[in-house]
Amino acid sequence: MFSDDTFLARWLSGELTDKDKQDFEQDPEHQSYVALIKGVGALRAPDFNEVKVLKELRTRLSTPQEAKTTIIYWGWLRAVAAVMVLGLSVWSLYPIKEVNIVTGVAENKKLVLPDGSQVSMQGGSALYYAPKLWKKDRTLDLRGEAFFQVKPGRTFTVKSRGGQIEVVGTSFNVIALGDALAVQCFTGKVRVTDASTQNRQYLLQPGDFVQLHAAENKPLYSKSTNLPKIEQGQCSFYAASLKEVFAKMETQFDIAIANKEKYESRRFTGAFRNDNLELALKMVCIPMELRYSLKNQLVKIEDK
Amino acid sequence: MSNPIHENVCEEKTFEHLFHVHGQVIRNFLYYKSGSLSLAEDWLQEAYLKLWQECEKVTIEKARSFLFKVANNIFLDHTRHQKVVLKFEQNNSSDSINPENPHFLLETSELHTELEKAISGLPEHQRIVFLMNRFDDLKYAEIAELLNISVKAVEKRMHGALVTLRQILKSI
Repeated sequence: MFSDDTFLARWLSGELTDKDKQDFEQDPEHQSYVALIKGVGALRAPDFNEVKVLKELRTRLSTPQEAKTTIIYWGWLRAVAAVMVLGLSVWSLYPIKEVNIVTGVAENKKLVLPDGSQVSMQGGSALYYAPKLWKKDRTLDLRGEAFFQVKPGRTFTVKSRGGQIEVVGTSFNVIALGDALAVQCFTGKVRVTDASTQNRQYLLQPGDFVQLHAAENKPLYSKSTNLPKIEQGQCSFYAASLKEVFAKMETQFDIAIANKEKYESRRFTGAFRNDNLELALKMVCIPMELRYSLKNQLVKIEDK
Repeated sequence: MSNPIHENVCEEKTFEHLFHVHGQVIRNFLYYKSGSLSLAEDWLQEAYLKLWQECEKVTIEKARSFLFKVANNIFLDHTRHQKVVLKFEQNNSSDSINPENPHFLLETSELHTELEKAISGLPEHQRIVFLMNRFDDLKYAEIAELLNISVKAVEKRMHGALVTLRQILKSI
């Protein structure tokens, strides 16, 4: 009935000639097309929540790992980077973050962290943490040796160059000297992650001990429970290089130990008191069958 | 010509303005094609992500046809042809609503459902053109440009859609 196959389109857009239009209006089908258009006119597409979709889009724009869209968010990235650089420089101008606690040679310090956890630091150690962030992130950096008594709560993390130690609520001792790391667990459970092989983890139960990156590169992991009973006020070692033990003694008592290099290969398991040099020397030398002489803060070690 | 800064698609403001102006039409276009709102909105975002990537090369004037082209490609990439079931909203135009006549309301909602079915059943090329014209108020020439076809082709599809719909709806 239509003169061509675009007729209705032109009718709808009002482009028909008057003649065609009048003819069509006489047509019995005209009414049903009018009804159809009216019916469709009462409908609309589903609502579009522009704000929500734009918000999602913004999120996708700021996550470059989005499939196929890796590279070119430079425009906004530049802005973000600028803000970050600005933030960092402000950050470094106002170092609100870190508290740095250092114990001098032969100095022991006890401190209470913002959550009530306790740290006993041995001589020659350093501890960094952020008191303001402590509630959210119980993480601190340690060099040297410290004994921790952790209040239950969020994960408590001690980082050192040799690895990191994670606990929830427990007590444990950490010796972090250079890359070497030794951890002994007293109560609760402690997880130690080796820094060089990220996947290598040790789960310590009370009495367990792990030593990483010591003289030999082999990690020592002991589940033995008949370790020397270590108390606070002592420096404890498990199969440690004797040189390391003497080095520890040097920082602890502010002395110099001559020819300690000689004993690098000998192993010591035990502890020495950190409040009395004579006693400490005896505690190490007698079981190792060594002789010591002490003069003006200078110690000489010899074989018996 | 306004401030040249605002003519740069890489400007966040301009980009969001383009989303505001074209977002809904493209979302609808993808919905008419796919019958899925969530896919349509996801692809809409993908299209704009693409625009952001290419913002240096696309002018404001070309943005809409660029977005349509990308949207269409995304649709083609993702879709195996399947039956489309569209759902529409009811306009609350004051003259057509008569809450005191339940019979009328029933008829309206029946008509609504029948129209949804009938439009969903249209061949895709007719459905898109028909809805872009009726729901999004796009002129035939605009649709032609966006779909990259001739105005004549748009008119044919429109005509075809009307004929088909009337046949389907003749029974009621």
